[in-house]
Amino acid sequence: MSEIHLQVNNLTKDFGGLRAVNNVSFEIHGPELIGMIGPNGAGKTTVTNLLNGAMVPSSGTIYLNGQRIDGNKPYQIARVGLGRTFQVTRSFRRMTVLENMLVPGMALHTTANRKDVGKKAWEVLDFLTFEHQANDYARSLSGGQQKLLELGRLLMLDPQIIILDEPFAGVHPKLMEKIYEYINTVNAQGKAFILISHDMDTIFALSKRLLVLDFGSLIADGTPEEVRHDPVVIEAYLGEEDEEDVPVVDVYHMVEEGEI
Amino acid sequence: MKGKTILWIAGSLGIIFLALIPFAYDIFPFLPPGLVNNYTMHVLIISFYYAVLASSWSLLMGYAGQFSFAHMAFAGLAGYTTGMMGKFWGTGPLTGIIAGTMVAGIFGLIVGLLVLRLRSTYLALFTIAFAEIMRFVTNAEIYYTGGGNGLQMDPLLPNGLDLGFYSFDSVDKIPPYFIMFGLMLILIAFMSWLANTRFGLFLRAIREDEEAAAAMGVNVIRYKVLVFAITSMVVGLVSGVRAHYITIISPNDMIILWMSLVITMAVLGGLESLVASAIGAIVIFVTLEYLKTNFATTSVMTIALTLIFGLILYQLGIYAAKRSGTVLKNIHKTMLSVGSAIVGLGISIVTVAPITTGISNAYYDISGSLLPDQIDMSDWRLVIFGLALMLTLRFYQNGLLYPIIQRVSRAGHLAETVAKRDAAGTITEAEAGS
Amino acid sequence: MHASPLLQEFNSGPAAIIFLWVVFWAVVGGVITPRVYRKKDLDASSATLYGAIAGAGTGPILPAYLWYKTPELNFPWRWSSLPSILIFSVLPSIFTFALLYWAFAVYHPSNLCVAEGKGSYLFSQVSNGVLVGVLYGLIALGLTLIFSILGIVSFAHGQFYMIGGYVLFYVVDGKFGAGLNPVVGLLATGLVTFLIGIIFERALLRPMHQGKVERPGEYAILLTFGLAFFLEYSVQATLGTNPRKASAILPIGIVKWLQDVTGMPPTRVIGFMIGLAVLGILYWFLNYTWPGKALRSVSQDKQAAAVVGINPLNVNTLAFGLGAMLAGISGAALVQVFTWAPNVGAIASARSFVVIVLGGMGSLVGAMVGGLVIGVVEAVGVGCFPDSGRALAYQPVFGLIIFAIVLLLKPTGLFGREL
Ligand SMILES: Nc1ncnc2c1ncn2[C@@H]1O[C@H](COP(=O)(O)OP(=O)(O)OP(=O)(O)O)[C@@H](O)[C@H]1O
Ligand SMILES: [Mg+2]
Repeated sequence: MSEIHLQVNNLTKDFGGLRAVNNVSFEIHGPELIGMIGPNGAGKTTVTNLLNGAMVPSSGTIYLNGQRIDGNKPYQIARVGLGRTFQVTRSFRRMTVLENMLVPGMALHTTANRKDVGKKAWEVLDFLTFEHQANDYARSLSGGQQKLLELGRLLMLDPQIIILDEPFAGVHPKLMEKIYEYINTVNAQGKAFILISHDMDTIFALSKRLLVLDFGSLIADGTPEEVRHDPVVIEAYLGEEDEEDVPVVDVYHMVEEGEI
Repeated sequence: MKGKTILWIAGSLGIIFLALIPFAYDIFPFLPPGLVNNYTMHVLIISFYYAVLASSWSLLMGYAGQFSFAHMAFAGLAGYTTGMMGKFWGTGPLTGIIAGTMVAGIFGLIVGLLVLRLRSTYLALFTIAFAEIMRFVTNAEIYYTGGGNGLQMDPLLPNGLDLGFYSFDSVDKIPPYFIMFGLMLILIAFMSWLANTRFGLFLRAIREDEEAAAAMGVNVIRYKVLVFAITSMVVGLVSGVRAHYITIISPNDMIILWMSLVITMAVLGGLESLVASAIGAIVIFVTLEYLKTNFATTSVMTIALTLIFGLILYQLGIYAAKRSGTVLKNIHKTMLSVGSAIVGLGISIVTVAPITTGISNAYYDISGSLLPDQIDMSDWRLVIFGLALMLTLRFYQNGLLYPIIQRVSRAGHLAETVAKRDAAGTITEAEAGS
Repeated sequence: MHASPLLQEFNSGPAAIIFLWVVFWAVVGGVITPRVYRKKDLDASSATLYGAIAGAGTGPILPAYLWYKTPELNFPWRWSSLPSILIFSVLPSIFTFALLYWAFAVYHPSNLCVAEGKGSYLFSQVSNGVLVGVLYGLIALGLTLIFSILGIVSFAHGQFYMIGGYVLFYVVDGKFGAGLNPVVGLLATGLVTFLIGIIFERALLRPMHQGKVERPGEYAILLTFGLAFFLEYSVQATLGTNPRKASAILPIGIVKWLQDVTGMPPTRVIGFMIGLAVLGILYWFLNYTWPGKALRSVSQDKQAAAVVGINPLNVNTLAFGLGAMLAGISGAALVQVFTWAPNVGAIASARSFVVIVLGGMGSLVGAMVGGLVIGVVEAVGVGCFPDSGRALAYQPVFGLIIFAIVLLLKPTGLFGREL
């Protein structure tokens, strides 16, 4: 497994007068499993867009394995090993599930041959227990299944770093299990993950490290345990400090309210 | 598998049929004269030209989702290139056609680059502007282009063609027929091949979602520009050949009317299939040509009424068949739908025809003084096609032909999926149970 | 064939230099300005356009100011933004015209536009352009109204215009038609086009807004295109292609008087007045009547409108009908100005696209301004084109070129909002 090293330095993004991402720096070493949380509008999706090249940062640099990738086109960044899903699923609706999977597979190498890629696609579909729908059009899938399809596409792209934007939103518990399994298995295979979610229980349970964004700034970066007791985070989420016991549920509910 | 075989056989038969038509031509003494005449040949040659145009528009619009009105402009560019090269430099058709193809490709590339940022409506508007500017310029630059009178050029084979056992002169229809026919087959095969490679796959992904395609590693810009360049070259090639075949090109070949015909052909055939839109083009063009004459008023009325009543009956039939679906469960679904389409329509037309004939004759007798004996269909046929375009879009978004092809080729697939899904379902349930 | 005699006094050197100067700075302004804006993290969506205009008009001066100060460049139509619009678009445009005018004067002194003592010629071209421009704006009003509500461009717009003209002609004309009062004609025109519009919208476009259609954008283009086809050839099949020309729709005395007072073709003046009247009525309708307010609220916010209890689907139908009716009425106003044939629709459509893209899709004021600009550009272009033999053939091209440039530089037009 090749070395994974993502280095984000002073990343900033302005939209007109609005600073959506403010001087964010962090690093990823090796196959980490990182959660990214923050209230709505904190800038999580924008960070994702900056990382995958969909947006150009106003300032700051991004290095992936020593290679500078900010300012590159999304397709180049995808090919060097950074994959992402979208908050609102974006499958290729009028293509079959299998064809959806072929796109990243074929795009990865100019010499990719359809047969090999197809074989790999079937393996991935098998892994996701999804193969019975291989020939269905993506538009005929349910919302949850489309999430699964996006995960499958990512596996075909075979990135080193995977950013999942809200993979659990609107997903049935049973499918949720499948996605946990996916994350853990793929992570064990040596891929780094950044999980973005408002589902605090899950994210605290799954990730080994948390990034907390608020108003575009990175206000905390540490283990779930540290973050849970970080006064700045508590301040940002709760408005007041509750000394003894800060249950996860409370944090979760506050975020929920912010959403409304 | 079985469905695909049926399609292959049908396709090959169609190709063989078209390839044999010239052998029924007047020049062969052993066949009854007048079976196939110059006019038939001409109509078919031009219909092959439109088949390529519609097919390449499908590649551009149906596959890549790039709504362009500039197709005829590229065609015109290529035609005028070869014409002007012949006029000013005395080059022959072959050189001219190749140069025209290149010029069309280069302009396609430039337009493709310019419109990268534009989507659907804006793209359509820009390409209309481009096409119209091209047309006005050719109209105005009389010295170079001959203006509205058009630009004369050499015939396709200026010296005819000598095969040893038979020689054709330069106005014979048989050599151009086979040239155009062969070109059509080659170009459609080429585009279909392209559509089945990574190129086609990426184009469709771009059509569905440019951003997601880019995030999956697809070089969106390259493929969008390429598809413009390639379709322009394809169009340029056949346009050059056509221009030399009819020995003239004029700005009228570039009016939006022809573009709309190409669009109608592609939509009626099925935008997402290159072959379906080509077949659609041939059928529509031939129909349009043969509708260009006068018809007796009564027969027009009869046909119109028959179609209306026939379609109503047909829909009723389908509805009834669906209601009694449980009874018919065991009959092969594909056979049912394709078969009922043909048989149902046939039966309803046959049953309705006498009634409608009666009605129209009676109406004609009553209002005889108001209606002309004959109706000139040359405008009405276009009305019909406008209507057909709208109704097809509304009710058969995948076109009329493509769904049938797809049904046949995917025959049995649905049942397979259902079976697989059931199997998968039982497994998970079993797991859940244990 | 042969260059016309006028063209032979050709002195291209200095003219070419002036011309290249304009193009060069336009390109520099257009290319660099958005980069500067982006570097400074400012909204660069309009920077290309304004940079290009600034460069064309003032060479390096105004672009340098833009790069140094980087002022806000979004000017939604408000009285308070008038000075900015003047400084950043109107003035440099005038400078550009002045430069080109000078270039003409240098290389082509006999050209009617610049010849000594022929100032009145240019003036008459411009005022003619203004007159026609209002009419162009009038034709395009309906299109921009439809776009602001339904978010689609109707490719059948010109055909409604054509039908409107024919209805008026056959109602009013004494020889071919019923010979009724023009007011009846206008009402009939409005009614016919309105009905065709709402039937079409209700039957074929509505499914698009109900999410029943896979690719709504393309569906709308293709469908309205089919309608255009259908309408144009229905008219051609029933009425034939013989061109028709209506006489002025006001009593002859008034027409004479108009001609004396304005010194311009009276039919155009009548069309112009109808245009202004329609604009006024539309303004009143949108601002002071209930359906008009519903239309405006939907164009601003679909959800909010639905919450207030307006059914957006019905508003769509109403808007399409109104748009068609506006096209029809403008046809009725212009059938006495231009010669009428079934194919005038296609030309009107193309011109309306130009106008609304220029003015900004969905902006009513923009449509009028766009119409004026195109009217003047076409009139001056035709009047000043060096080779008068080809000038008329190029008439629509002047507008189309501006159109293509605007589409590439700033698809949302001069007064458009971001989509
Ligand atoms: N393309 C854009 N143009 C202008 N502003 C934007 C754009 N994208 C995001 N923003 C703004 O940037 C801020 C951060 O948005 P972002 O989508 O990154 O938040 P988020 O953390 O992903 O929120 P959520 O949890 O709701 O998904 C928001 O205020 C948003 O309005
Ligand atoms: Mg987000």
